[in-house]
Amino acid sequence: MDKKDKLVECEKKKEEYLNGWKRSKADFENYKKDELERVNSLIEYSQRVLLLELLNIVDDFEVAENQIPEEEKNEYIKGLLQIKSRLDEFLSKFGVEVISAVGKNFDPNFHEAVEMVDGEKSGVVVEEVSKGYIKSGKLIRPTKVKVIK
Amino acid sequence: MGKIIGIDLGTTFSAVAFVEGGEPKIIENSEGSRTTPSVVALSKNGERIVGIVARRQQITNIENTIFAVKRLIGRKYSDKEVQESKKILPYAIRSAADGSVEVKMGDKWYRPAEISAMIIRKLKKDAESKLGEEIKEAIITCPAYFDDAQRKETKIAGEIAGLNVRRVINEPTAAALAYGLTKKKDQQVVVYDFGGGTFDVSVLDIGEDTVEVKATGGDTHLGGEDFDNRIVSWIIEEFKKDQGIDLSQDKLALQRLKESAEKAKIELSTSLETEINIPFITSDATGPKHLLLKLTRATLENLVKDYLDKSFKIVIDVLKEAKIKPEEVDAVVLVGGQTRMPKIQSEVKKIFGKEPNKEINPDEVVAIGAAIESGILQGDVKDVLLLDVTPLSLGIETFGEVNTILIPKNTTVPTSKTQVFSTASDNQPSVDIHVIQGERPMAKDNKTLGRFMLDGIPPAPRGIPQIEVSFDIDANGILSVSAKDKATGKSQSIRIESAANISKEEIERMKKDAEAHVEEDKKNQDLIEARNLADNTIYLSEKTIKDAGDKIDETSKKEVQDKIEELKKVKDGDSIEDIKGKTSELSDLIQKIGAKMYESKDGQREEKKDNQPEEGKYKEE
Repeated sequence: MDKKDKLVECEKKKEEYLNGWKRSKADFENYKKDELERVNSLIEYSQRVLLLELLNIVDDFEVAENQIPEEEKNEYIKGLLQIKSRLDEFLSKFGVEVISAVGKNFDPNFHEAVEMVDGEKSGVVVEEVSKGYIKSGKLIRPTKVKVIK
Repeated sequence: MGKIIGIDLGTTFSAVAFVEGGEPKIIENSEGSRTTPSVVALSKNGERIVGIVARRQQITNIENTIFAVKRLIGRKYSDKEVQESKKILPYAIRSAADGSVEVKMGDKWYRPAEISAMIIRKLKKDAESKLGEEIKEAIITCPAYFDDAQRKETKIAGEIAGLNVRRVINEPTAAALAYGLTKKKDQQVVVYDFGGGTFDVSVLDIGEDTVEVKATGGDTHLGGEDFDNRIVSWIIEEFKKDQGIDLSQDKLALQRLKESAEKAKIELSTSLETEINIPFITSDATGPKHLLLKLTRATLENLVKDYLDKSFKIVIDVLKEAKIKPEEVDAVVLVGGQTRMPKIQSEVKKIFGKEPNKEINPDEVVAIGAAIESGILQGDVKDVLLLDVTPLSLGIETFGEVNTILIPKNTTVPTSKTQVFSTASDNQPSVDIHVIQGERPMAKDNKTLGRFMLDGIPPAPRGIPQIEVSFDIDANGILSVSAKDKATGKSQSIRIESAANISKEEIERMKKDAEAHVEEDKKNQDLIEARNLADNTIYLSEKTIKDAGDKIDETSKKEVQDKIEELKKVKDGDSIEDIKGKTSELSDLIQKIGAKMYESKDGQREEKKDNQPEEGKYKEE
């Protein structure tokens, strides 16, 4: 192999190695970006898991509030329900918004139908069984609703 | 070549996975879940919806929501299974001209494969948006008992969805693949698959290049949902006994019960007891009623005992059919969410006398296996640059004969690492850099790779000089170690080629050695740490006394000297307690003296201010 051939081969190898190096640098940069995204989605996921558990408790408060008749709401009960408004406040502080459902057309993207009932306007939500929530535009839990047949 | 995805097309749920960098990964759907309900619907406004959204609208649109279509795919209308399913499934099913099955959604009749295709299309689309490239090929799984027609239709479903289906593989085979069980030849593997709606058992015979299904059995209408229903009935019964109210007629209450029952079941997989707590479940003339029950794991096991026994009997029958004894089975794999139940795990273990494979998420294991198969078909990615890792840790010896690791084992090379060290005694003129390889905490227990001296360090108290030590391993595994005194810029280095040339046997031996000595090493390490702390305390105490001069009275000095002597006596012994005890005694004493010095200084200042105002020296302090 003469010197010229050697040089050509070296040039070729240099090109190959440089490209490989660039590729691996790029891979790493991309990996870092992916990793950041992964970490963010992991944080989002763990918050979601926590929120879902918390929302189960909020549900019970919701049911309690709706079931206690006005005349029974003495100062003790009012105090307890005030704790519920602190929970509501906590949720809204973290950007958790309640989905409004009653009176709207049933939308499976945000509502989950649990019962069909008689009524005037077919396909309209008449009652919320439990509240649904979204956080930064993403669904955390759909509203469980009763829909008119 | 594009990526090939692996699809687990399930009766109630489906999942999709692919291989990246040699590792199988589940792909999340657009709703952020790792599994997708196998449900398709045509909504009232003519929109076709798939997955969780389709399930949410199910009861508003019962006739046009198709689920469990896997029960019908590739079957004849006259099949017993089809006739049985027809009784339960709320959508219209009819016989097609060729005797196969058709289902009605909206105004149109579809072949089951077309419905499955809609599910696959969603999985494909979600995979494409996650991976950022078009997916053209897939491997789809099906139950081991599927016949040719059912397999063909499954393949067609994939093709309608725009995928070239490279293979249709058995679900139990996929599960075995996920656990790497197909690598060993002549293995008998049993797969116990307890899903949400179906139960399957398969016996696999893994041969040279083939996986043969020797026998299958199961119950197509037994699943985790039956367990939930048993819990619901139990709660209703208990509440009736307690409160005399029948909750089974109250739709809203039932809804809450169902959720709580599933939650309780899941919790009992990890704890022995759970609380079912539903306040304001209902009310009567006397006021609101609350439900608060304890459900133990033992009670749950009793509630579903007949289901469990049935599944175990099927296992025994299938083994008989395959003509093998439980003890001849080499490995058992658990698939399906219900196998998280501890009773199932322990009973399966009892039957086979060995621990079943259950580490991979049982809801995902089939899709994972399909992805592995696709990875095999795909072959290795071409431009992979193989990078080595350091098999053992590399470090230097520091004060007290401690192995201070700079590059931990399994670090990918090429790599480099720099750390700043200092001297151990006052006016130390040189440092000895002892490069070692191994995991043991004491330098002498590891392999010496080389050593060198860096001298000419200017006189300074200990801890002040900054010696920068750098390790660099190049792509060929050659280690360069350098040490530099930051004050003078003087440096020394060594090149070690043998770091990489270590035999596999030696690596294994050294790793085993480290494991075998874990406890002894830990003790040694604690002892060294205690000694180092003692040494430091002595140094500080001596320095304090020296610096303070006559500010400390002779009695106190004597006291400190005595304590130092006492500590020095035990310091090199082997009793950690003695060293620690004496160290803290000395440390307490020196602190007390220090505090007293400050006090007296403050006192002095006050005095001087009053009596000798001409001496303003202290004020400036």
